[in-house]
Amino acid sequence: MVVRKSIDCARTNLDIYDGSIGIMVSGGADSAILLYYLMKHCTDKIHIYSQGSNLKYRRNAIIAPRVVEKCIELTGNINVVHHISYNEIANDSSMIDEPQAVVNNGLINMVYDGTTMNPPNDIATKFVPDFEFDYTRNDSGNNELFYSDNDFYMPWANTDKQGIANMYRVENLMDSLFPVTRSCEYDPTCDYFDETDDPQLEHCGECWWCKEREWGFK
Amino acid sequence: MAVRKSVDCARTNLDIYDGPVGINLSGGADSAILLYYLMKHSTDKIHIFSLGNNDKRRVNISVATQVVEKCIQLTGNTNIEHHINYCETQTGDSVYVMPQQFTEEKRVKIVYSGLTANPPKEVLNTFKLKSRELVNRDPNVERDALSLDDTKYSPWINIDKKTIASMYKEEDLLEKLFTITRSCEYDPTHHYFRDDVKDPGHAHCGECWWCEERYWAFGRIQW
Repeated sequence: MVVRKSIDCARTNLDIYDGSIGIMVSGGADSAILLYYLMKHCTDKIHIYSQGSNLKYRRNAIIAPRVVEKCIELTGNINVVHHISYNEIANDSSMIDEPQAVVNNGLINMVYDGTTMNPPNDIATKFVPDFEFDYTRNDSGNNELFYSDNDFYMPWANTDKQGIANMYRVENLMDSLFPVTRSCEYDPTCDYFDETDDPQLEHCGECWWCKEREWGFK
Repeated sequence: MAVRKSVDCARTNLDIYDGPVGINLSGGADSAILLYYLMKHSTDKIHIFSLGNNDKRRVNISVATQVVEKCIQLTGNTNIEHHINYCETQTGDSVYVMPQQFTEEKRVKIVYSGLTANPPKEVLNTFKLKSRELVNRDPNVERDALSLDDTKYSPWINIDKKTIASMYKEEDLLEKLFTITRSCEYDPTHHYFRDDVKDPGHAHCGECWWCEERYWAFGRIQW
C-alpha cells in the first residue's frame, strides 16, 4: 500500500494512504479529529462508517452526521460518503464487519480507526472504581498500529487523550469541532447508572469515557 | 420482481417488493412517509440514499437523519442502512447515481422514489414561483410507477400532496413525523430569494414553490 504523505499531528504521525479509504466514526473526539485530518489531506473518496445501537438509543447515529457536517464546513471537502447502519448492541465485530467487506471487495484500500491509548494505568483505574475498561488500549506506548491483516490502521494507538486534545489545540478546533463531538457511553441497562440522569445527547459526566475526556481536555 | 404484499396507503397502492430495496430520502414529506411505510412493512434490508448539496448548504442531510431516527422510533425497524452522499449542485440525475450503483451491483433490487404529481393547474397558477419540474409531474398525465427497466418504483407518481397529507392523517403522523420533515427549497443563489426572502436556516421559508405546495396540501407548513 502506498503512503501518499505523512502528517505531523501534534507530534503523532498520520500516514495518508493512496486511493479510496474508509474510516469508522463514532462521533467521539478521537475519530472526529482523525476524520478532520483525513478530509483536510485526502483527495480521494473517503467512506465513513458509523453505527447506531438500540441499546444506547442510536445517539452515535445522530452525533456522527453532525461531526461530518462540521468537518465539511471546516475543510470544504465533500468527496465523502457516510454509511450509517443500525443494530441492537454494537460490538467490535459489528463495527468492523461492513468496512472489512468493502476492503475485501477492493473498493477501499485501508480503514482508519481512531482508537487511542489509555491514560496511564494509575489514572485510568481511578476514573470509575471496579470498572473493567479496555486493557487492549494499554498505556505502554507499544500498541500495534495495524490489525485484521493490516486492513485497519490505528494511528492514535500510542497517543492518549491528552495528545488528542493537543491536536484540537494545534488545529484551533476547540470551539468548532470539539463541542460537536460526544464521548459519553451512558448505558441505561448498567446498574452503575442507576443514580445518573439520562444525559440525552449531552455527557453524563459519570462514565469512564466522560472521565477520560475530562482528563484529556482539562 | 416479486411483490411480497400490497399496502393501501390512503387509497393509494404501495407494493412491497421482495429482497433488499433502496429508497431516495430527501427529508421532505413525500419521501418520509414512503420510508415510514417501507420500514413498517418490509422485513428485508432497506438501503436509504440521501444527497446533500453545497448550493443548499446540505440542510436536508440533518433533516434526513432525523427522519430516519423518527421512523426507527415509530416502526422499531433497524434493518436499514443510510448512505449519505454529497455534491456541489444537485441535478435530477445526481440523486440517482448512488442508487443506480447499488442496483448495478445487485445490492438492491429496486429503488423507491417519493416523487408526487403536481397540484392541479389552477392551484399552480396561484403560486408565486413556477416549478422547473412541472413537465415531469404533470397531474394530467398518467404515469407508470415503474421505470428504468423496473429498477425504479415511484408509487406516488400519480397522486398529489393532498393525498400524502391524507396518509399522514390516516397513520396519525402529523405531529410525530410530518413536523420534522422539511420541504423547503430556499436557494440563496436565486435572485428571488436573495432579494426578498429571509434565510430560513433549517426551517421553512414559506415563499418557495415547495413551501406553497406543502401549505396547499397540509393547510399549514408545520404542525
